[in-house]
Amino acid sequence: MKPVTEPKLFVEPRNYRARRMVDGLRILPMAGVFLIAMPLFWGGAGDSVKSSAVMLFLFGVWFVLILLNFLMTRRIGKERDWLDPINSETSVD
Amino acid sequence: MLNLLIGVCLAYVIALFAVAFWAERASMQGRANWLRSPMIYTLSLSIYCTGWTFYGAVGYAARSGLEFVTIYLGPSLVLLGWWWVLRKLVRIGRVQRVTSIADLISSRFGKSNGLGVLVTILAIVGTTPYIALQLQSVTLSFGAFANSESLSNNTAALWLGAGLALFTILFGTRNLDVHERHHGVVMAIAVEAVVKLCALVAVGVFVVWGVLGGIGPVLHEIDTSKVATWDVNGNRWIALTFLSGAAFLCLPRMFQVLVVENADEGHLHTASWAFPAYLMLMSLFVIPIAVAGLKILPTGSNPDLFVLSLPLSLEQDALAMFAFIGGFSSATSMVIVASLALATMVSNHIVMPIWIKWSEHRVREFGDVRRIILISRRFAILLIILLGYIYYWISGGGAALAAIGLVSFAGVTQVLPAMLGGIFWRGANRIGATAGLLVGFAIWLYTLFLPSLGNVYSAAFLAEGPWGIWWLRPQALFGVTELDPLVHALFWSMSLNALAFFVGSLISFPTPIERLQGAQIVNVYDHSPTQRGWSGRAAQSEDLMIMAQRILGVKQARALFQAEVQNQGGQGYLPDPTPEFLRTLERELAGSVGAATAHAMIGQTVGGTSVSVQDLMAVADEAAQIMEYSNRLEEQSRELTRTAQELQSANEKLTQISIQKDAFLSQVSHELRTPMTSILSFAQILRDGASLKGQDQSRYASIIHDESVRLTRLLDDLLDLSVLENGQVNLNIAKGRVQDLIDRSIATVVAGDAAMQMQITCKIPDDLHSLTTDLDRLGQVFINLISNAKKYCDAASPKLQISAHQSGCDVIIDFVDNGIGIPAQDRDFIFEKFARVGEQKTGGAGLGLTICKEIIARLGGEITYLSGHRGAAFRVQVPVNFHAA
Repeated sequence: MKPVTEPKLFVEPRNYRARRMVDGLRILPMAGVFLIAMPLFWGGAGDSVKSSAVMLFLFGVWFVLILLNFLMTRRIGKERDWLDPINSETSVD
Repeated sequence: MLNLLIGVCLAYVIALFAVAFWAERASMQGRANWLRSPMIYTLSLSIYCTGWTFYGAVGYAARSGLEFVTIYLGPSLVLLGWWWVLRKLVRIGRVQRVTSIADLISSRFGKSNGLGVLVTILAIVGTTPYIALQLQSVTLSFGAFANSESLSNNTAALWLGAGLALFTILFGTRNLDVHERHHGVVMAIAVEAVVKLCALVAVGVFVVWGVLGGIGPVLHEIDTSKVATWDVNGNRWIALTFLSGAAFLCLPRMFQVLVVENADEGHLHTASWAFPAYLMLMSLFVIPIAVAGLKILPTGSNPDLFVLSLPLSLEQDALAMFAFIGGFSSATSMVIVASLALATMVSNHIVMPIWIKWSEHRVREFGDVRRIILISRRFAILLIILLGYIYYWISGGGAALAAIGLVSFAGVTQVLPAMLGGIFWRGANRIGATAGLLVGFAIWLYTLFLPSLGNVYSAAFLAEGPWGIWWLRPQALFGVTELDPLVHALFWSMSLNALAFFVGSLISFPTPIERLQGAQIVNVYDHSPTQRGWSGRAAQSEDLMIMAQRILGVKQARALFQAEVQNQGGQGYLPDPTPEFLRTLERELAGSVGAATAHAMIGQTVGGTSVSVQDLMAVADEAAQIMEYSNRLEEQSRELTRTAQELQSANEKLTQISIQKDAFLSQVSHELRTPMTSILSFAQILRDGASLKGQDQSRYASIIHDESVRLTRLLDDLLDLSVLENGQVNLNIAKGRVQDLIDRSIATVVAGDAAMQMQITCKIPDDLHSLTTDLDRLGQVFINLISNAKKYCDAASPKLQISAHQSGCDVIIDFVDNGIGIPAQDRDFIFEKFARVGEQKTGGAGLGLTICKEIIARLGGEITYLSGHRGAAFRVQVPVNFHAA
């Protein structure tokens, strides 16, 4: 049987970084939803918004999101190396 | 041109077959590692981009501008947020050996086959039009090349369908893998993913740099085109993003590649950024192509075919051909995976349960279950593609079909509440899931699917509702008129679906299996290995072996059983059907036939359905038996310990007695020797010394006499003891008072020693019964005890207290003095023969108490040493009336 150890109050800096990356990954789609909905609130003063501007904005957002995800996912590395299965979902800071 | 087209198509298809065949071979030879790389996984996800998206996105963009991009943004967000849902889905899929989305739902909600059937039907209804759409896109693209002069659309669609069915059957149902993974198919669709991306990017690059003249001019063209302004409907924007994201999770084919074909959770890490990038590239050139098509092509041309007609009109035949192959790839890969996923669902959730029911009593005689599954899958593939073709044929491939993509999405999305609720909420149960699915499905049919068919509802029905009930108008349910029909249907179906799911779960109670599965799936990260178990008592390993061979194949089944035998530490070929083994076996089988079917099959063989009260009682019984057995063992071990202790103390006693005996023998020899020596020497003096005076002579003679008396006494004692021990003593029974007896005894002792300082007190009640026993012998005991007290009591003013009382039929007489008593360690053997305590200042032989003990035993009583008194204390207990033993 695996000895049940007390969860540590603090984790090592490497694990701390990985956990923060996970937090970032969690928030990423929400930021995405917010940004993608943003063009809906553009315009005003009778001036119509140009499709090309929206297109550039959307692809820009898209690209940035992909880039952030790529960087954060890479920082996480192999999940099983650092995520203790016992308290994988408990947030230990 | 047409012949060339068909030739290229055939060549492409043959190349695909070759790739798939080669991948299968490689995987069978164990060289499949790189076939399972994260990039292949990412590319296989691209079956999301079908022929409809390949051609239709440009058409969509030409009609309504940027709105098309929501179809790609939704899945991108889902993958960007992979940590939330996909990670868990993939883990569950791996741990539970999920074979399809219907299997996941059925497995989560207590392996309910009813739910599996419901999801399967929903998926078929939702996917059939989509397959029709793919056939249409390919035939349309054929038409763009050939103007349909020599080949009717229907014929082309039929040939296409047949070819796809052949491919799917060949590579999708070759093997029945426990993981339900198809290397050949995955490799082929990965190749197709590259082809379609390259095709679209090639057309895009050609349009941007070859036709429009660079990025600046493109932006200018966009601003001057008819889609120049951003005027999307906000509701649709949000709803479509949500819908495409949800469909990405719920579409049977997406579930197949995302979860079922996933070989490693790590692949998700790569796919989470690579697939959104793929989607971004796929949509990057859509607007430029649409704008260019609108500008260059004559008005009235079909915008859905801009990708083809643009290069064709610019005389870029090779590029057009490439684009055609891209579209062809998109359509074929979708149809292949969709029909494969649906066929798995149909065979696992519809055919197998029926077959099991039908052959309930004939499993053993019947042929190979494995073959049944494969055959049923092949037929299901044919059937599904045929259904798609029939749908296409009936609908006539008109514009109505173009809208069906989103309708289809909305249909399969009805699984979303049950799926997400199932994996995140332990309280979700079967009743809730069924209610949600039925409600959502019904509303989707009523508000979206039937209206989309065109002429199902009359105008009056649409405007006034059934029987004039205004709040039941199909496109304005409950008076909600301000929403776009698609958003309206999505809004109501999803919200009421979720509500029914939630309320149904709240008010009903789940079965034990549901609760166990719920806990397992929701807490999948906890690695809890326990599942509701089988009681293997009734199961025959041989039956299980036969069944496993039919499903897994002989080799795999043997390997599995052999591994288990080794695991159990047994010998031979068949392991014991322990609950753990049955659980493992069920999971393995579930990989081939789905959770519900595997559950049913094991249940049939084992002859019991999961945990019954009897099982629990049996388990409890077993536990009780084990407890009892261990109690008995403990008792035995305690007894043994006790015996060992007794033996040890007996041994110690024996050793001590032996030492005492040795000591006594030397003492006896000494005792005998001393008087003998005196007697001998004085007798010699008397014999030789004629000159002795008369005074001396008499003194020496009296010494000889005294020593002889002492010798005689010693020998008397020994003789007495020997007589007593051998039971040869003659008792002289008489009646007398205790008081008299004690008085006599004291007098005897005192008489022998006039200088005695001991003070003796007697406390004897007057009403004490007279004793009928051998009074002389009892008196002997009393004398012995009193004289012992006189001899050994070392107090400054020695006192002896004698008290007597009645106790039932016995009389008890205590002799307590005020000396130091007998040390605790010596009390055990003071009654033993030859025992003497401490330093001997008096010349006793150590036989007195032994004789006392023997006498009292003869008289039917008992003499004990009383602890708890300051001095030495003896208790004599004798019966009032002596009965000869």
